[in-house]
Amino acid sequence: MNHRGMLIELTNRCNLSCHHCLDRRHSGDGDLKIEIFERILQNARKHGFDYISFTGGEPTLHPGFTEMLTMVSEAGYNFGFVTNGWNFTRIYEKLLPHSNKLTGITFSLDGAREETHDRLRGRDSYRRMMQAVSICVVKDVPFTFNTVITSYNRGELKEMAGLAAKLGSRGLRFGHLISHPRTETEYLGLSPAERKETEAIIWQLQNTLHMPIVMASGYYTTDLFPCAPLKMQEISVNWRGNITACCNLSGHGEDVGNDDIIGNLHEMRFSEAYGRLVQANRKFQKDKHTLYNNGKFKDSDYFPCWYCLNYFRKVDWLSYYPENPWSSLVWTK
Amino acid sequence: MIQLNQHATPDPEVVVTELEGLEGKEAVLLHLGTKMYFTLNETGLRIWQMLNSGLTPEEISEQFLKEFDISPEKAKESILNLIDELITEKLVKVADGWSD
Ligand SMILES: C[S@@+](CC[C@H](N)C(=O)[O-])C[C@H]1O[C@@H](n2cnc3c(N)ncnc32)[C@H](O)[C@@H]1O
Ligand code: SF4
Ligand code: SF4
Repeated sequence: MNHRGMLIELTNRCNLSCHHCLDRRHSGDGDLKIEIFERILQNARKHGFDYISFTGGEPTLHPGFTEMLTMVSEAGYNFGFVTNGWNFTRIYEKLLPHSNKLTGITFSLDGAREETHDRLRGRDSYRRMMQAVSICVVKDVPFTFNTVITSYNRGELKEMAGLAAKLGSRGLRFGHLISHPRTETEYLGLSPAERKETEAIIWQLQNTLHMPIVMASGYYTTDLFPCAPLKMQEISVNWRGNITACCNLSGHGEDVGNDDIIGNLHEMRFSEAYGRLVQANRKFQKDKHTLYNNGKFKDSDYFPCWYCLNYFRKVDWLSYYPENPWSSLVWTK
Repeated sequence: MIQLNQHATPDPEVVVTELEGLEGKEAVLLHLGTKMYFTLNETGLRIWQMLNSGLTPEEISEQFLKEFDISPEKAKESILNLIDELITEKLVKVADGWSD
């Protein structure tokens, strides 16, 4: 059965400042208003959404997180969230009453080795996550790992899979980095060729373990609409109450392109914002077909998130980094 | 077998997580090298904490008699058994000079 999910950014606050993470995603002090959350819960089901996933910032830092867990499970949605794990010893007891609705927790693991993970995420992060994972194992809470591939951890992919399986994870999802100026100054990104190499390793890893190993959308594919947001199976809402085209794009682009922001739930009804998203999605699909049919696709455009970043003008800043291998691939007007 | 006057110390590669279990406090140990989990009940956790503060099995046993309603023989036996198990699982290391 195909689930349709709402991905909700609860806050842009975070206790960490990971090297690969966009500053505005973690350095703020804004939280999604509970009234907006309530409206989402009231309306999402009418449009066929049955699953809620929390993200952030660090979602567990939303002051109403516990209340939101109750709201979401009382409203009958299945839910899950992605977390850095630091806060888990404090919140896990609040999760347990809703375990019948909790499909799983995703922990962000960015290195098989403690020093690699902590290099990206800060000291003690690895051990804090291992504490969170230990609790999940004892309390029988399902969990998976999410890994963003960077130059720091690309040599540990196989080790990561072994670690995840040994720890009792239900799966491991690798995803490409969405670059921004900070990741470029720190040389975290991979070139198109390096991305393809890592993908080849991951596709091979898939058959080596019983645990599912997948790649998040963004890998090289000739499928023009390969992901849940483009199939309208996943909608993102940011902490300001904006419905956006995709959480991967949210906040990126140094304020040049903002067309991914579809409508704000403080200003319009859910159904109106949803209607606008449907329109925007149709236009996106039409434009992509046209570009493809006109033979204008570059090889790099088969990395679908890269395509979106260009479409929504989120990579203009790369012109300041001419030595970056993606810089010459940015679309010209 | 560990002896009553030998020091055994938790391996720094072990991540300890204390949590509330059905029967009070408990803890999960996760060895970052072997990636194996090990659970401790409330008394096991006390033994772990005392090992961590450098007490020998003998000293732990004396402390146990103050904290729990248990005979000296039973205390020593369960403390030594648990420490032996922790050694087998590489969760604690015996101080230099020890051999089996
Ligand atoms: C923004 S975080 C929010 C949830 C939580 N704070 C955490 O780290 O799990 C959600 C996921 O996005 C990933 N992420 C952060 N920056 C990214 C980037 N530039 N490109 C791709 N994924 C990124 C994180 O590693 C994490 O797995
Ligand atoms: S990736 Fe998550 S934990 Fe790291 S800074 Fe971003 S929001 Fe915080
Ligand atoms: S950025 Fe585009 S291709 Fe990537 S997941 Fe989002 S909608 Fe899909």
